[in-house]
Amino acid sequence: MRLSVPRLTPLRLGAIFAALIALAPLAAVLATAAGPMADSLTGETFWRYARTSAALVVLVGLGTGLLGGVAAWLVAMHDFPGRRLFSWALVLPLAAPAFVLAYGYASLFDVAGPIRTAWRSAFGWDPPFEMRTLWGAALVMTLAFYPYVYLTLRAALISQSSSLAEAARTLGRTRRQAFLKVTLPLARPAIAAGMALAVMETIADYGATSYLTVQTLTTGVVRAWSIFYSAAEAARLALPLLAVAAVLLWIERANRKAVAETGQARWRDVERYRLRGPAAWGASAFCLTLIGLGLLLPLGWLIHLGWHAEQDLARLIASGRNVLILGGVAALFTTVLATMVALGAREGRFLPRLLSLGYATPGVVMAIGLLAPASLIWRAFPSTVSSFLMAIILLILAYAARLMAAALEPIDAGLQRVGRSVRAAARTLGETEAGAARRIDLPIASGALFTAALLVFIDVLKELPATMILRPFGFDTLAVMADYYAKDERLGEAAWPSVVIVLIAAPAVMWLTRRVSHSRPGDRT
Amino acid sequence: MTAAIDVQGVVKRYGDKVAVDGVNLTLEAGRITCLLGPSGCGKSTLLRLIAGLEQLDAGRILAMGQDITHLPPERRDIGLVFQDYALFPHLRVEDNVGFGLKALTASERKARVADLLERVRLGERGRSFPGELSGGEQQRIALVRALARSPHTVLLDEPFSGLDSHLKGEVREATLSFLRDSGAAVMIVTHDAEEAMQMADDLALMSEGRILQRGVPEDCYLNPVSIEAAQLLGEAEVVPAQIAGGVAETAFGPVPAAGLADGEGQVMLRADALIPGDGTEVQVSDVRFVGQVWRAALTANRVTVRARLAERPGDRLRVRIAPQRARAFG
Repeated sequence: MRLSVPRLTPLRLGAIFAALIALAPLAAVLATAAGPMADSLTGETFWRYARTSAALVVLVGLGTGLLGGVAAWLVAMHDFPGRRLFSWALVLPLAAPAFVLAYGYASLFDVAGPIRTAWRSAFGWDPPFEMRTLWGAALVMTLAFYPYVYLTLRAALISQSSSLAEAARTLGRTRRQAFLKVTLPLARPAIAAGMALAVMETIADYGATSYLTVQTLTTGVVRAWSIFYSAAEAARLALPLLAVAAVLLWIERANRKAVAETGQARWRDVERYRLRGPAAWGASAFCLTLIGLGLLLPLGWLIHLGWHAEQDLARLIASGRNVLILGGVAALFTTVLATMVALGAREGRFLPRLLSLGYATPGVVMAIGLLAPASLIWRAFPSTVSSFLMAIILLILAYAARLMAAALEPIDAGLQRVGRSVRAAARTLGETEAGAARRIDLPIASGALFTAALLVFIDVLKELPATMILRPFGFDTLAVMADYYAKDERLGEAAWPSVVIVLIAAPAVMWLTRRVSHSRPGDRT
Repeated sequence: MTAAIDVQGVVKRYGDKVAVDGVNLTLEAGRITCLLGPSGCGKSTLLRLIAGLEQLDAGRILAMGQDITHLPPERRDIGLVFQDYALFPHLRVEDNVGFGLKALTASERKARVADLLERVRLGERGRSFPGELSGGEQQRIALVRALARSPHTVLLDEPFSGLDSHLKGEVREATLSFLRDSGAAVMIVTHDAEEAMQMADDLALMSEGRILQRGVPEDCYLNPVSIEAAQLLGEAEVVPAQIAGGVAETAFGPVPAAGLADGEGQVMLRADALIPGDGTEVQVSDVRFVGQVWRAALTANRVTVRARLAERPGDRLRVRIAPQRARAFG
């Protein structure tokens, strides 16, 4: 039942305005790609980039599916020493940008690094594994992104009603058969959705791949812009990324629907199978290894490197201050826009779906998309806007366009808690549509608004490629500073901004995952 | 006197489905109208149309003689009590009740809210949150919240459906007296025939988007305009009849049918229409005691009806039809 036939109420206008901000860069990418051809991009180069990106996507997809899947299966369905600790600690790698892991592993596996040195002295020959390869990048990103699969699958497993598996048992299936025939097929959409998220991050990544000297479409976009200053070429490289993003989004949405449907049955806590002896210690060791490789080892090594390096403390503080302000403003702005969309397009699904395309789109593509409209504005008002302010505004617009969909989700969920009749009651008591939103919807959804802002903030904190392209000259964020030193092979100096990012993001990531998992039935961890 | 609400030829469609199909209905100040119908008959939609929460496809709605068809809900001055009460979970009881009193000063609002809460004996609960109240208390809060602005019309959507059965009677009485005191025109939507007849000054029977019959409850019960209308107000069995000379002859005996044309017809029998006495001999089967009375299947000439009997019947029984509990239709 609709409240009224579509009318241009203030709320609806607000939603359309917000959506335009998110969609403008995407449209601009398409327009820019049609621009004049540059000579620098050959078909051969394009296909080389595309092949590498595709290989990376396949490897990381499979890797995260396997590692994240096993971790979720262990934690959700078994009991073993440390399970409660692991159930939240396994998400911690989300606090570290992939490039932080890349720095750590590249240094660890360096010719003069500790692993090769130790290996050589132990076995007398050089270990075959090389980090600055496609395989190395795949390993780093698998370790960085497996939590996406872990989170979605764990949620699906614990929200599944235990009576389904029990029904299979009473129908003569063993525990193993019940898992394979009932539990796993029901959870398969969750694995697919998690893998889609991990792959989205993979194609969006610039920092790790470029540091490991793996050339993908995404690094190609940045190169095309920052070396050849060719927006058209960058946009053409971005087109396949945009297409892949759309496909991934479709996969993730289609499977999410199926995940939601499994939650319909009345739930009871899933009964966990108590592991004993070697199996129990094996499970603990697996989880510990995953957290160790995904965060503790590379981060610990970076801290070690940083400890012995000279620090540019002033630059670190300035970068930290910059990203805190930038992230705060972007979080506020994006949350306001997403709230406008959520309130104004409440019963529509079309607008949110369009915005999700922004989320699936790599940040670097957004940045390229904003360059064209920016240069138009620049030419129109050359003296009115300072170039510093202009760049900051563009950067915030890019963040908003990319992250609006991410902010929209918790806000939508929060608003869904406001019953339709509650909102209608406010109307019959004399409130306008906008007044009801202000007095009823927003106060009830205030927790969700904070969640949304925090999500945006963490992403801005970790963001690298869009910031690199759009930032004002001389304006560093922690990620940009880390990338600068790392490219200079001064990892000790790159370590500190990296560690600070993780330290800021870790509590927020933990708080967010707790909040999300507590909103689901059946999770008592 | 001008009707508080005058619904004229209102139509509402959802896609192919016609939810409200040309309804005319008036509500008058100080009178309680019960809109009775099965679930899905469009009665809640009609209520939402009057409140302005849905846009109608045809027809118009007047309030105190003014056309309000296109007014948004906040400008209609109509109170609505929702089936789930729709109390604002983040506001205290007093802020819920005072929500619509924006025009008053803070102190006036406070006094008005206190007075309202006192009248439903919830003066102590003003600082509570809705989640801390019992179902009956929530219902009373929803009621005074809707009446706080002294609307000319109050609509109630299945107001007692969420309550335990032992509470219903008491809450119903309290609600009724409160509504009468308000002097507003009242419409209560319900699917419970007994409730509707107990509360209504006027009854409106609704089925498949149309109003079948309007009138005082007794009249509707005794003189249903159709079998459908009769069935809305209580158990009714339908048996075939042969109408001739103003009498409908059924397997169980004759029923007056003045004014009906000769030929095939139908007779509606209330559950207590067959009473033991001189008349048709029937076979008795499937006898059950259901508390206070007995129920049994009575068969005559291969026609079977379920009937309510005051005493336990034997295998065979002679019955006749009580004329005021049966009605013939052509």
